[in-house]
Amino acid sequence: MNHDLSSRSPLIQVRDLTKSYHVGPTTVSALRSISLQIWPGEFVAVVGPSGSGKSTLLNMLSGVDRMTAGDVLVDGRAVQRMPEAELARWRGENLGIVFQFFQMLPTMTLLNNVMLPMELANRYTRAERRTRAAQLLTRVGLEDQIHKLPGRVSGGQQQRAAIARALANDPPIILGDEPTGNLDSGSAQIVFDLFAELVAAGKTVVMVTQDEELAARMPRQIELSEGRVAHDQGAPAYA
Amino acid sequence: MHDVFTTTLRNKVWFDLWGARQRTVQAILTIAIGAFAVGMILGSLQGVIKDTERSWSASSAPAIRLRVVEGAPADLVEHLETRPDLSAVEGQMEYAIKWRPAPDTPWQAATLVARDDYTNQKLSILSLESGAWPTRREMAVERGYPIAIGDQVELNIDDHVVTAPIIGTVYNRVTLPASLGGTPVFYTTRAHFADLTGRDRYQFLYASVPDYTPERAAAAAAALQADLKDLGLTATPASTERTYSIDPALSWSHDLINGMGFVMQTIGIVTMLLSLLLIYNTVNAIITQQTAQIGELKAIGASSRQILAVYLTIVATYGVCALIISLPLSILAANGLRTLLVTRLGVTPGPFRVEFGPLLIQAAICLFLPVLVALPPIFGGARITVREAINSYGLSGDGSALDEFVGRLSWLSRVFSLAISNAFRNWKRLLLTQLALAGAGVALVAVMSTQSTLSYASRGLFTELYQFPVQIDLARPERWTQLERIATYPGVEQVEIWRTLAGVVKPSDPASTVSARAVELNGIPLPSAAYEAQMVAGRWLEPGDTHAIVLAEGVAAELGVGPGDWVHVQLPAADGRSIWISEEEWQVVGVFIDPNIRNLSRMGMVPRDTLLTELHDGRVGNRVLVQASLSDAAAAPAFANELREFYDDLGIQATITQNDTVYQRSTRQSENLRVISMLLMVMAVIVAAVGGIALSGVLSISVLERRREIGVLRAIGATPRTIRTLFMSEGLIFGWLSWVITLLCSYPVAVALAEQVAATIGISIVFQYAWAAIAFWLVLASVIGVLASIGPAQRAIKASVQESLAYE
Amino acid sequence: MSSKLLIDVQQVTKRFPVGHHEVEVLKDISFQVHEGEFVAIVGQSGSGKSTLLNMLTGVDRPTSGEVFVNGQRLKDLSEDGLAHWRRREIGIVFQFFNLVPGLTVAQNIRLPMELADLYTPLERTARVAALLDQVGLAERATWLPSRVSGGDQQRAAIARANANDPRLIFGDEPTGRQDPRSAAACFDLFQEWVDTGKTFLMVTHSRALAARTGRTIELADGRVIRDEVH
Repeated sequence: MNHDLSSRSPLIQVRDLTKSYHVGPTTVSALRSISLQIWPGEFVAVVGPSGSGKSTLLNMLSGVDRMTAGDVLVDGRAVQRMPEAELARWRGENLGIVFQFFQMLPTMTLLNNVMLPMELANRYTRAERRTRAAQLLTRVGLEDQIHKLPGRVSGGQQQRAAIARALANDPPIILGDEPTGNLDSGSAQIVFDLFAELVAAGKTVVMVTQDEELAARMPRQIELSEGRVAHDQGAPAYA
Repeated sequence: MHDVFTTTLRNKVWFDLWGARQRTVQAILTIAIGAFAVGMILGSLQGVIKDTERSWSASSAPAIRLRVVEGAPADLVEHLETRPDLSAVEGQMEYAIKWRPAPDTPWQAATLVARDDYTNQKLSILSLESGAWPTRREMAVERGYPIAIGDQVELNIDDHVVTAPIIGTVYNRVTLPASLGGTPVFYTTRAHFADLTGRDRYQFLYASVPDYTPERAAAAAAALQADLKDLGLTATPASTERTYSIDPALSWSHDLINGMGFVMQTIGIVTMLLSLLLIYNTVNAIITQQTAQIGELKAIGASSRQILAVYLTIVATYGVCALIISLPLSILAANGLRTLLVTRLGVTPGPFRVEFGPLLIQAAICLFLPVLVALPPIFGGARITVREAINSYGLSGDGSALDEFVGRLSWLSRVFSLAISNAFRNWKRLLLTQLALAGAGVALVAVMSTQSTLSYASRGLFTELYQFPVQIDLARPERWTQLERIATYPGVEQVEIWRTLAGVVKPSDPASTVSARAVELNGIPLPSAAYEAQMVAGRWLEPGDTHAIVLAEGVAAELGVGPGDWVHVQLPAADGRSIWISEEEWQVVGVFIDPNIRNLSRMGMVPRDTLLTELHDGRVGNRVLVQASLSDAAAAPAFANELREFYDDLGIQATITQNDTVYQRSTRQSENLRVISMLLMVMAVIVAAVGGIALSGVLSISVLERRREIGVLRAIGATPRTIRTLFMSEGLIFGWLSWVITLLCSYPVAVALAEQVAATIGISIVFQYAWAAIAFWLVLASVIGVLASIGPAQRAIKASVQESLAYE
Repeated sequence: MSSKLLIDVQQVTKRFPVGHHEVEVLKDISFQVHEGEFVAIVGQSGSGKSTLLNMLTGVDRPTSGEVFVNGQRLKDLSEDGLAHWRRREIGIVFQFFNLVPGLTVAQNIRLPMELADLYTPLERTARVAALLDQVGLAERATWLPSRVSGGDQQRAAIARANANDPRLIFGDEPTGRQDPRSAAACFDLFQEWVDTGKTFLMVTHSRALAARTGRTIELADGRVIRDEVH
C-alpha cells in the first residue's frame, strides 16, 4: 500500500463510533458517537483522562473489540464487516500493534517472536523471514539479542523487540497502546524515537499515551473526554 | 483471636468458585470421576461378596462330601446322625440319565436326583424357586435351563424312556449354575427314583461337623470312611476339589470372586492414584494462576493462615460437590454392576442397597484426599513471598533451555514450536500429567491384555491344544479294534484312542507334607496327533517313555513338584475287589498348560502303553478323539451326536456330556470366565474415562491460563484456525507422549496383571498382548487431545481479543 | 530534626541472580526518614528504586544490611509476622497488582480492615464510603475491578492503602496509570495525608512529580546519588 499524501484521502475514517458496555444492570458508554479521520503519514497522539475511551478507540481501530454502532473504515475497508478469520489476516498484514506490557511470547526467542506474524500471515519465503526479522531487530538496536528469550532482556529491550514485531509484515499503520507507559524515561525516549523514525519512513502511527511531554512532541493530538473528542489539533492542512 | 475467614474473603472464595465455573466444573469432575469409580468398584465388590456368601450360607454347605460307590442304605443316614462327631447328615440319590425336550430331538446328559424329604432338608439345601416340590410322578428341575413348569420332557433311564411332567423349579446353590455350563438336574421322590432306576440307596452323603475346623472335619471324614468300610462300603471324595472334607464357607465361586476382587481392587487403587494426581495438578494450576493475587493479598496484610483458609475452602468445596454428584451415581452403578456380576455367577442378587464401607471410603476420597493432596501446592502458594508473587506482568513465565533449542530449529513452523514449548513449559505439571495419562494408558492395556489372554485361554488355546475337534468318552473301556471302526464313518479323517481314569498322585519325597490329589490321568499314544501340548517346563512325552508323567501347571504347583521329581501314583481297580490295582513311582518329565479352570480339571498325561500295563488291561480305551472335516466348529456337537449313535449301533455306550467337542469346552470355559471378562471391560472403560478426563482437564486449564497469550497472537494476525491448530497440536503432543510411554511400559505390567488374575482364578495362560488396546489408546488419546483442547480454545476465540488481553 | 525517626536503612545491599550471573541492584545504601516526611525516590529504570521500596515494605529482604521501620527490625519478622506487621503499620500502593479480581471495589477496600480485624462492621462501611469518596470512586463502589479503568483501579488501591489509617504509606508509581488530571488529584490526597501527620514514600520516574514532594532521593546504579529536601 503506497499512499500518496497528495491524494488527500484519509487512511482511517471513524464515523459515529459508539461503544457501550453492560455492567450489571447499567450501560456504560466508553465512546459516544465519535467521528474522526487520519491521513497517511500522520503521527497522532490520543490523550485524555483515564476512562475517557482512549484504549477503547484503539481497540476499535484494530478490530480487537467489536463496536456497538458506527463505522471504522481503514483504507476503505469496513473493519466491523470482516469475519473473524479475515479480520485476523487483515490485522496481521495491515496493522502493527505495540502494547504497554510488551506481550512478547515468553517461550520464543526475540527472532522467532518477530518471525511469527510473517508466518501467521504467510508472507515472504522462509529464508526471507529470518533475514527480515534479523534486520528489523538490528534496526531497533537488538542485533546482539536476537536469540535471547524475552525474559532475559530488559523491559526497554522487550518493547523495542515488540516494535520490530509490529513491523514484521511492513504494515502501513502502527498502533501503540501506551507503549512507553511501563518504561523509564531513558527507554521511553528510545522507543519514542523509533516511532518518530517510522513516521519519517512513511508509516502512520497512532499512539495512546498519558505522557503530556511526549504527546506535545507529536504533530497531532486528539484529546478524548468522557467518550467524546474534546480537542483535535494539528490535523494536516489539507484535511 | 478474630475470625480468620472474613466476609470479604468468603466473597473471594465465591468468586473463585462461581466466577470460574468452567474450572470449578473441571475440578469437581476430576474428583468425582475418581471417587465414583472407587465407590462403584468397592461397592459392587462388597455387594457381590455379600450376595454370594448369603446365598451360599443359605444352602448350609456340608463340610464332608462322600460318594459311596455301592450306595448307602436309607437307615444308615439316620444312624449316622447320632454320631457325636457329626452335627447333621443328608443323603442324596443320583443317577446319570439322558433327557430331551421333545421326541425328535437328540438326547442330552442330565442327572436324576432324589432326597428323602424335600421339606425337611438339613444340608446342601435345595430351595424351591417356583412351582411345587416333586410328587409321585411329577418332577422339579434345576433352574436356568430351557425347561418350564408345565413342560413334558422325555427322560431316558438306562434306555427306558419315560415322560416327566415338570411342576417346579429348584435352586441348588451348591453346584455350578446353568449359566456356567452345568447339566440339568431333575428332582424326584425317593420312591419314584427307586421305581425308575431300581435303586434305593444314597450315592452321596453330606455331613457337617460341630464347630468346623479343617482338622475336625478331616478326622470325622476319616472315621466315617473307616466305619463305612467296615460295613463293606467304599467312600470316594466328592467335593469339587476331590477331597473328602472341605471348608463349608468356601463356595465353588470363591476363586472367581477372588479373581474379580483382585482385578477390582487393583483398578480401584489405580483409579484412586490417578485421580489424586489429577486433583494435585488441578489445584497446582489454580495456585499458579493466582500467584499474583496471593502476593497482593499478603501485601495488604493477609496471613498465611488466611490464604490457606481461602484455598482450602475452595478445594473442600470441590470435594463436597464431587461427593454430592458421585455418591448417588456410584450407589446406582455399584448396584447395577453387582446385579450383573452376581447374576452371571448364577446367584440371585439381593435387593438394591447401600454398602456403607465403600460409601465411607468414597466420602473420604472426596472430602479429605483433595484437601490432603492440595496441601503441598497451597502451602507453597501461601509461603510464596510477595516479591516472587508480583514479579511478573504481561505474558508470564520464563523460557527454558528447551525453548531456546526449539527456537533454533528454523525448519519448524513458529506455531508448532510454540505448541511444543507450551506442552513442555511446566515440567512438573507435564510429568504429573503424563504419569496420570500413561498410568491410565498402561492400566487400560493391562486390563485389555488380561481380557484377551483369558479369552485366548478359553478359545484359541483349546483349538491349539486339541487338534481333533471331537472327543467321545465311553461308559467303559472298549477294544481298539471296535473303536477304530468309526474311521469308516463319512467325514472322519483320523481317530486316536486314549485310556483315562482318575488316579491319586502325591509327591514321592517323604519329606513332602502335601496331601494326595486326584488327577485325571490320560494315557495317550506316543506320539499323539490329537494333542499338541504347550509346555511350561521340562519336556513333552516322547516315544519310548514308560513311567513318565506330565502334569498340568496347576496340579504340579499344588503338589509342589517339577520336572525330574518323582511322584507316587495310585490307580484304582475297576473290579471293586481291592482299592488300588497299581501303586508305582513315576517321574515327572514336564509341566504343561491346561486352559481349564483348576476346579474343573486337573490333568496328567502318561504313556498309554505303560498305563494299560499297570491296569492289566489289553488294548482298550475309553476316550476317542476324532479328526473330522467339519464346515465350522459349531457343527461339531451335532457331528459328535452322529458318532455316538454310530457307536450305539455297535453296542458301545458313549457317555453323554456337553463336553464332546473342543467347541463346547471352549464355549463353556468362556462362559465361566465371562464374568471376569465383562468385569475387565467395565474396568477398562472406567480407566479410559479417567484418562480422558485427565487429559481434558489439563488442556482446559492450560488454555484458561493462556487467554492473554491467545489475545496477543490474534492481535498480531493469528486467525481462529491458527489458534485452534496451536492448541490441538498441544493436545496431540500431550496425548501422543502418553501413548509412547504407555507403549514402553505396558507390556510388563500387563503380563503381571494377567498372571496374577490367572493365578487367582486358577488357570494357566499363554499371555496375549492387546495390540488392539494400544491402537485404541492412540485413537482415544488423539481424540481426547483434540476434543479437550478445542472446546476451551473455541471459548477463548469467541471472547474478543480485548477481553483476552484484559483477562486476569 | 525534632520528629521521630521512622525508617532507618543501614548499609543495605541486594544482589539478584540474573540468568547465569549475579547483579548487585542495591549497593550499600543508608538513609533515614522521619515522621511526617513526603519522600520521592527517583531514578532510571534499573536504578534499583523498586527494589529499595521492596526492602522497606518487607516484600523482599536485603542480602546484607538492616532495615528498621518504626523501631521494628524487619529481619526479625517471619513472612507471617510481616503480614501481621503490614496489616496495621503500613499501606502499600503497587503499580500493577492492584485489586483482588473477585471482589468489588468497595470490598477490596474493606478487606485490609477485616484482615487486621480493625473497626466494627458499621465503622468499616462508613470508612469504605469515605475512602471511596476521597478518590472519587463513590459511584464505582459495587463494580468489579475488571469493569473499571486502570486509573480507577489504581485509585481504589490508593484508597485501600489508607484503609487501616496507617502512619506510613508506600507507593510504587502510585499515579503511573493515571492521566495527568487524576494524577494531580491523587497527589493532593497524598499531600493531605502528609499534612495530617502521615509519612508518604513513593517511587516515581517523573521528576515533575518528585519536585512536588518534600524530599527527593535519587538512585543511580544502585547508589544514592542525590538526597535533597526541597
